[in-house]
Amino acid sequence: MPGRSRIIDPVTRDYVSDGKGGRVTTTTVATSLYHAIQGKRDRWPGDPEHGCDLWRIARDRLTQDSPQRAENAMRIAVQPFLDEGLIRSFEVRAERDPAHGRLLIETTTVDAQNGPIDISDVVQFRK
Amino acid sequence: MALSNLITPTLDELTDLAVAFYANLIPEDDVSRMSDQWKRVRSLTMLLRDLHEYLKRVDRDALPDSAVKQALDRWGVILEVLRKGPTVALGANALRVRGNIGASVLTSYTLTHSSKRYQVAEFATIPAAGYVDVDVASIDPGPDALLTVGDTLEFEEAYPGLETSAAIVVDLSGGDDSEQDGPYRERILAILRRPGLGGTEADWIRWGLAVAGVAEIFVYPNRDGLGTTDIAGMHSASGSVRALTTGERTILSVALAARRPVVMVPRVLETVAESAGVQVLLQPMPDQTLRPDWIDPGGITVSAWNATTRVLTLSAARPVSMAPQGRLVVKTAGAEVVTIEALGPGANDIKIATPIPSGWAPAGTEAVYPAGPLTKPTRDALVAWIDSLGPVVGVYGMSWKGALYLQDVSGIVGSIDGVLDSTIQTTAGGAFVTVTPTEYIYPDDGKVGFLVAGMILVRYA
Repeated sequence: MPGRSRIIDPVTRDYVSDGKGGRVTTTTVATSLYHAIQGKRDRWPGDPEHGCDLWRIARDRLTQDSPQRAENAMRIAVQPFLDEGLIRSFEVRAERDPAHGRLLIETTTVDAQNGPIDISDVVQFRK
Repeated sequence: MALSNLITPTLDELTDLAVAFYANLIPEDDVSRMSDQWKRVRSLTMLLRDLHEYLKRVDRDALPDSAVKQALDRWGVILEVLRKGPTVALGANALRVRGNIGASVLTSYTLTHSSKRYQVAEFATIPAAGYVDVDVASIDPGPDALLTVGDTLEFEEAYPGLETSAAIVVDLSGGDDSEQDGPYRERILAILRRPGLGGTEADWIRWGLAVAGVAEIFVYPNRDGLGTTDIAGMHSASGSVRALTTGERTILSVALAARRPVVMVPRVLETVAESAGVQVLLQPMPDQTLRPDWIDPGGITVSAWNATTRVLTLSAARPVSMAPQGRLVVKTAGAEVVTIEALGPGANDIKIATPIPSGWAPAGTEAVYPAGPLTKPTRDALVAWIDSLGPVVGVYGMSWKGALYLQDVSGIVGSIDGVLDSTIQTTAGGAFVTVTPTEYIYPDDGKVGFLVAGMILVRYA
């Protein structure tokens, strides 16, 4: 059973204060999944296979195949959690938002111990 | 090279250890491999791993048997054994200079090739052939100064009676880069293993080898009288350019004088090249692929050689088995293997392919023999052996070979793959006798002879 982790706010990319001098924690795999998706695959010498290729996709132009590439990248990043039995299911759907030069990503994830969690993300592309 | 006994943990081992410490301290935190805490611990252990690598380098460089680069240089400075700088490239009879008959080629003449500078290293006069092959040495040291057959150099000035360019006809040798860690480490270890004893053979060798360009040192104790030491230094090269130049001998002499025991006066000897010849009659293994390139009807000699057209005229009609790409040797100066480029134009003629070996100028009545796949490897091995010999051993020399012995020639020929048997003769065809370089005596004892490959005639029996 996963232990306790501090929650990371995807907007501020920082730990969340509990207002009492501590941090808000969770026993879900949300923080680990955050690292898996926000981490740059092949860029961290501590574990080159850790992380996701979303950063590469975001570096390119927003094209017709960007959603498909993003979905594949996220599936690869999350697969170890499925293999380890930490999550029961993972579904992802990406959609282009050309007006704002971004990709909208919606996920449905079920934590093995705690039920559904949300790790949806917004990827900003170069204009 | 000795290896360190220091064993450093891997990144995973260090991480596992640190995670265990962390989990023991805060058991309720998630420290599984992909967790937030694990990544933080992992980042710290990467720094620890880097420290271990640094320790490993310190451990390696702490002792001279494993130190590298700057750390090895530091050991050298402490022990006064400095790393040798790059050396010049040299070639004996390697530069073909063309010009008017009688024109002089002086040792002050300089040339360039790809911004590298070279100097003629031997005085010569253009003979009737219209060209002469002279020794050449690079002025700029290092491997970039090495040239190969076919390279063309330009004279830096218009010298009287000479063409403005000259061609390389023998690959240059030497041109070493700065001394590599391997041989440098051996020199440093030698001074630790065999500390100076005030003038032993090992001392003189060590002091001599510290001079740039000197690849071998030979020591003759008491040769000039009791308490004296005669030293011969040589380059790592092929042929007569193994000898040190006058300037290099002076540098070596000064270097030795600075290190010598006060009661000993070393003398650096001039090494004089002496040509050694041998004739080898090969019997190949019973294998069609090892046979000579054409069938020798016997008695074929040279009638004429035209260096301009490269046409060799035989004393009789060409054997019918001769064909382009076939190889042959002529019993002439070096007896190198040459290749037939084409047959004709006359019934007795063959055209020889380039490159023509330096100094290869067969004359009338010199015998022509077929060559084959065993000829060149055998000849090359013999030339390499002769180039590995030291100067004459004589009465005072020590533990090296300076003469060409029958048993050495037989052993070398026998070691060539495909050779079944051989007969070793003099170039004249008589029984081979040991070829010993000259042991000069007083008043010429300031020099010693050493052997260079002369006519190394390898042919099929």
